[in-house]
Amino acid sequence: MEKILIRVIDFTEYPGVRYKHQGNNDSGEDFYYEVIKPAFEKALNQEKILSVDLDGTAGYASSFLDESFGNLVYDFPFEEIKTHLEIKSFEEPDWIDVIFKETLKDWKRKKDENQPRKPER
Amino acid sequence: MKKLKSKRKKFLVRKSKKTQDRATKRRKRQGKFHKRKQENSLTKAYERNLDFIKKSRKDITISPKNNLELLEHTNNVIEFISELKSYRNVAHEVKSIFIDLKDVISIDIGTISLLLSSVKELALYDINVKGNLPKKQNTKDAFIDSGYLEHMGEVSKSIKKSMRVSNKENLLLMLAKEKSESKKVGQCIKLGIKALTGKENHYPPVYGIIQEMNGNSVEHAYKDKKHWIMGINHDKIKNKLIFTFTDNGFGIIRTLKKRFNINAFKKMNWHTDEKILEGVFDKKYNSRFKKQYNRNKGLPVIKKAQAENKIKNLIVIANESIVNFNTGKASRLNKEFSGTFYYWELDLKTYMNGKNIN
Repeated sequence: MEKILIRVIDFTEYPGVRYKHQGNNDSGEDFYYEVIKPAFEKALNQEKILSVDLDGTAGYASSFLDESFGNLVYDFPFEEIKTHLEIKSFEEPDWIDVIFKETLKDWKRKKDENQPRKPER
Repeated sequence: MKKLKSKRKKFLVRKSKKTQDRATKRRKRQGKFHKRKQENSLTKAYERNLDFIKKSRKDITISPKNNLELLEHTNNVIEFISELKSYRNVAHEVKSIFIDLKDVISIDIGTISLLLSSVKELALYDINVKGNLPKKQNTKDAFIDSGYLEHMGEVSKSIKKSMRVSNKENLLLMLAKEKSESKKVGQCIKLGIKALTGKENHYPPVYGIIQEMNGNSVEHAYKDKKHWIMGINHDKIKNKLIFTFTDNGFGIIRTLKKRFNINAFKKMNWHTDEKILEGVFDKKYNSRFKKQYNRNKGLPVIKKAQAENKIKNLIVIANESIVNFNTGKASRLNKEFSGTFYYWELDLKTYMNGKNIN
């Protein structure tokens, strides 16, 4: 399948934390709604794979990646996410396993139990 | 003038009283009477109290114990810092605090960072902090070389005279309020790496763990006056970076106890605060707390960085507990530190390992 490539560094060199109100337009929530969600929708419509490159940034908080990719579970079918999402990283390859083996599964469990995607403040 | 007869006098007094009463009733109906009276009395009471408070505010002197190395004499340091920070709770009674360090014979960068972060915190409460330097020459030099004085508000003329030229790159200090300040964190780390290796570069393991601490601080730590303070010191002799992160909020243990019932801790055999602090950095902690499936992953990431030798000598102090992840020892402190304090180091070998450079 063809790929749509996006790089986190094109969004920010300094990824923030989880929520919009905690950062300066550099949060995982910002990245999901501004970049990941529209790009994934496009990839599904065009029958392509969304390939996300994590390299080149200053690094990541787990909450940034959790919010960036976990939200996909609430907006798209889980099986489609597994087949149409690819994560690349030479600098911190551990994050790939964390996203696919933990993040997506935790969010699916949350969704299956009808929990809101974002807790009330 | 004709003298008024008493009857006439009484009539006039009654009439003026009736007029006054009608005016009062009219003002009451209009809602003006009580407010004006109240405002006047409250303003006067406030001014009286303010005057009293200003006159009765105190100058405080704090004299810590002689040995203030955080790693060797942790209890001495925490007692001193705990006393200093306690004045934020009575800020309206304190005019200034004088930190008397003249008898201190040993200190390390961990203590200096804690001291500076406490001073920064007190400044948020408008408490003026002054002090002197140790008499012992090499302890005094440690203060000056650390860059401590660059970050203190006022430096007296006598201290300025005794200062050598201090390299400002020795200590970077960053204070952030409310938000995560990711770009500034990243840029400070780059400068630190430049001091260590000669070249500016990102170092994702340290950026990642600071962002975890950052995220916890802005999300959990406070009700008001949110802030955290990060310090990076370059030890030129040993060519290593010393990082500190101070979150002057509730502290990990107090935050957890507010969120979870004590039975939740008992179920995991966490019977003491030290066990709780140690356990919360373990990945399996997350799986024990239902409904939080995607949360509580930040602290295990911090421990993992130490375990994978991407950082060294990680120590965490929170409330009345300390955990040294290098030795694996968790113990209780004599006094409470109100907040969470992280300390860790990075030398060239650890940096190369973290970057996968052979």
